[in-house]
Amino acid sequence: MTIQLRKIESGTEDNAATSVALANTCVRYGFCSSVCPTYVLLGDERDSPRGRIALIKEMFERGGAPDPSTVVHLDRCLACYACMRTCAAGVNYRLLLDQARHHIETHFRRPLFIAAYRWLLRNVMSRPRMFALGVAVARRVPESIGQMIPGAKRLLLLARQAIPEAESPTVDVPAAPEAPRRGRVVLLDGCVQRVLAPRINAAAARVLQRCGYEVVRLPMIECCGALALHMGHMEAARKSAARCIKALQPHLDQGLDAVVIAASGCGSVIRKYDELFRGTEFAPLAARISAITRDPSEILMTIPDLCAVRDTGFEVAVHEPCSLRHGLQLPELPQNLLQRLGFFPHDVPESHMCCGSAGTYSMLEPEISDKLGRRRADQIRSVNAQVTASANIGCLHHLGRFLAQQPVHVVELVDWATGGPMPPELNGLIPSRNKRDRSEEQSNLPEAVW
Amino acid sequence: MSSKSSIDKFVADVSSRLGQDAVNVSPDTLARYGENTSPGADVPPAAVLFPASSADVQTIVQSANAHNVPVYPISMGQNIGHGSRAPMAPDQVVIDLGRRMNRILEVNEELGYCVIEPGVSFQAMYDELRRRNSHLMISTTGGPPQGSLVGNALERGGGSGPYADHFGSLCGLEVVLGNGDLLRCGDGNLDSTSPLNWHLSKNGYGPGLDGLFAQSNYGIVTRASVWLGLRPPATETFIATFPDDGDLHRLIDLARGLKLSNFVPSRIRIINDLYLISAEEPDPEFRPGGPALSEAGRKALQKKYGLGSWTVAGAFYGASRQALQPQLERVQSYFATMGKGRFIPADEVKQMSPLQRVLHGFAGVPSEDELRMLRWRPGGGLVWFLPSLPMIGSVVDEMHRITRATCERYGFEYLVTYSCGPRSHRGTHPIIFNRQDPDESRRADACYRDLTVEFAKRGMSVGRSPAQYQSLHQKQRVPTFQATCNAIKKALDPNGIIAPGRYGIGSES
Repeated sequence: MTIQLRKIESGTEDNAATSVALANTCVRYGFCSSVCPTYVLLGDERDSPRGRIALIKEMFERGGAPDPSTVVHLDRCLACYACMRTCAAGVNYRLLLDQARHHIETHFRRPLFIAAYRWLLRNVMSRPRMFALGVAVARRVPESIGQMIPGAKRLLLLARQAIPEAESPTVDVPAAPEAPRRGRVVLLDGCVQRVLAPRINAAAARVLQRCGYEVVRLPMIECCGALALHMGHMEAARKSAARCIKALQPHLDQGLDAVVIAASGCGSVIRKYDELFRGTEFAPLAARISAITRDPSEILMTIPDLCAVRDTGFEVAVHEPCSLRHGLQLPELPQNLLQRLGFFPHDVPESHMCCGSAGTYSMLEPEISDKLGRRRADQIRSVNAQVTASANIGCLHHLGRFLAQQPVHVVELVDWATGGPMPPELNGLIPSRNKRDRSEEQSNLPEAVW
Repeated sequence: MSSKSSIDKFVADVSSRLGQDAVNVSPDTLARYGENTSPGADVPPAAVLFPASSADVQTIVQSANAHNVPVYPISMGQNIGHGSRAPMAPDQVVIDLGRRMNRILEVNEELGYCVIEPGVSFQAMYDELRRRNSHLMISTTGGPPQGSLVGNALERGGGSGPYADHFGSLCGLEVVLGNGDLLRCGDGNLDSTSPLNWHLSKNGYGPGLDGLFAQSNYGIVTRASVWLGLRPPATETFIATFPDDGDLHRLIDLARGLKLSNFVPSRIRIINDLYLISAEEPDPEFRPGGPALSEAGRKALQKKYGLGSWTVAGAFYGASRQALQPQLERVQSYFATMGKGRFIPADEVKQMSPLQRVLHGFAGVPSEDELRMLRWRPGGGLVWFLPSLPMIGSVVDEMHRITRATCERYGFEYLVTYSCGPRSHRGTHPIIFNRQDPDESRRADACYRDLTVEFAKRGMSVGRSPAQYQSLHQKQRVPTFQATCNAIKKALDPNGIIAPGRYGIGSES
């Protein structure tokens, strides 16, 4: 089967009637407001999910260019989808927001500087080579210059946190010949992740190979479409996604067990490719890809004999990315996996709350993003763990700004535990607990009463 | 009825004394705070206030007295199906305690309690205990995880674990009275800077005043202690399902024995088919204005989900699964005397989606899953009918038949979960309807009122009520009770400032 990119222009996302119908499924229970990060922070009903749904409905009913204040409140949405998890009415807020943002981008004229900044983010970050070049240049720009250009400060921060390829661990771990063959997977590198922290993908590849998977790398796949989609550029998102599908197609035809991506933000979008391409000729392929898209932790949890080869008794604070918890609906997956390998994972209070990273949000809404980042970092510190772990590149970098120690990706911990190189975040740390501690913890319970 | 100018002056006064952040009068906010799920209209308040401390609440109440403006306190505003955040009347000003008074003031591991403000949710307390790696656990409800522990207890909400009596677990209230005074109940009123028993004992000196502030409008509770259970190393839930509607009679009598002997430490839940299944999928036969789900439709759903008409669940707490095995076996043989039904093995329970929600409750894990039942019908209408019934099988069976027939007569399905104690239990009946359809709203209202009459005729009433029906229930009480409630109101809140009309006490306007 050969797919044609030109066909994707026939999307029907700007269908106002569909959006209004979606909005009408909101029956205003209000459970969503109390878990919405922006409502919790700002206390403005228009910054709550149901407030935004009302604004979206009004925007579509009225048609034409949206009111600027509507754009402000919709821009402020993190798209964390905590609201969807708590919604008793089952409102598909994700789809509604995608459609609303697409309407805004096609009907609203943003100030020139803002529009240019958004264009830059969307087009540079989604192209790894251009992004890497930008990062390399940005690392050499004096901080004083960054302070002078609005928005640039955030980009420079991001660039400085990047770990260049040459500095990343390069210890190769060949596929264990004794491992039972479990299947064949494609590991996607992600556009931002491969530039900012390529070692995460290296770790994912190693651990999958070690577990008996044939790992196929497709560096020609750049962005999955998530960046464009979250910024309201549905067509651009479809084009990126279509390129991804096109590259995956031959491997699907050869037989593929999973499409793995170690950035849950990307995974949550690829998992919804079926929705993105509904009604187009891409739909069948998109649905096949959606059905086999996996976070690495999902796959690793299915390996019956996965076990640690080192003393892993580190206390690990786990920040669950919204894209993993709400998007992929895999709550507590990292905790369960780490616990299985002997780590001591700690739930972080307010696990439903976004850290403020949210794709390009931290660069577009820095004030709210920083408040959420600080709040989340405070909660992480409150559990007194030795290490912080997460499963999405955006969260790792954003939280790193507010924590004394850079967080580490879950898959890097798993890789190390099962024989891979030690993530630098663990350097100098000694596992504070071991299995004996764990049994003592149980016995510390007032056992006599039981 | 307070005038617009007096409300404006009150709001301006509060704003000047507590800051602008403590006041919100934006039309969007007022409209949202007026929303509710009852058959009646929305009731937008005149303003919303956000105090940050007991002293702030005192300031607000004093100012409200000075300007003669009634206030309506809420905690987290998650009281869906009971009135949500909406006040009793539009001239009332909502005091939202949840936004800024959400501190966990103390967790006492040794004596097993926490001291919290009204804005502390089930989820926040659960998170805090996890963070501390505490040996304590909370009792949760089937309601929203973001609901208030204190608010739920003051409404006499119920849980399912060993501390399921939420009001019974509340101790040592701090209350701002209608005149602005601050009262501490129990030993909190000892003239001492460190009353050691404040949060420990309800049996101190003098009248026990705590009960006055549950299901009333006599004061604004600004902090309280909640007694917490010990988190056991093992929680083992037993779940059995029974095929026929008529099995309820015997099940209630059997559950009574288990509770009177305290053999089962948790509440025993007896849950009907559609209460469990409604959270899985919408009514497959629903059409606007149509009849309730057919008997054939109900049986088909039972078969699809592997459930009978009634499912019984309870939990044991102990050192290990092995240690609890004898209790599990004993309870299994006990219910085997029914001669029908089946116990569902723990491994199978894990695969049955409708039963996951039951497990969460007994383990003290907050979950929003039970609320998915609200998708059963479109339109967002919900009122809870919550009668208290004696633990006598014949009585419960009769009321079950009357309630089922009444619901179906009005075109609604019969959904119920009974939460059984030793002597009485509460039947939790959600009436789910399309609030955007005037006819369905009218039918839901009529259904609720008919049920109220049917139960009252047989000597029973509700244990909790949606705000819209509180005066209805109060009027079913004898005049002496009503007069006494109003006299207490007059004594503690002489100007009728706090939530007039709530629980049918004092005049709404």
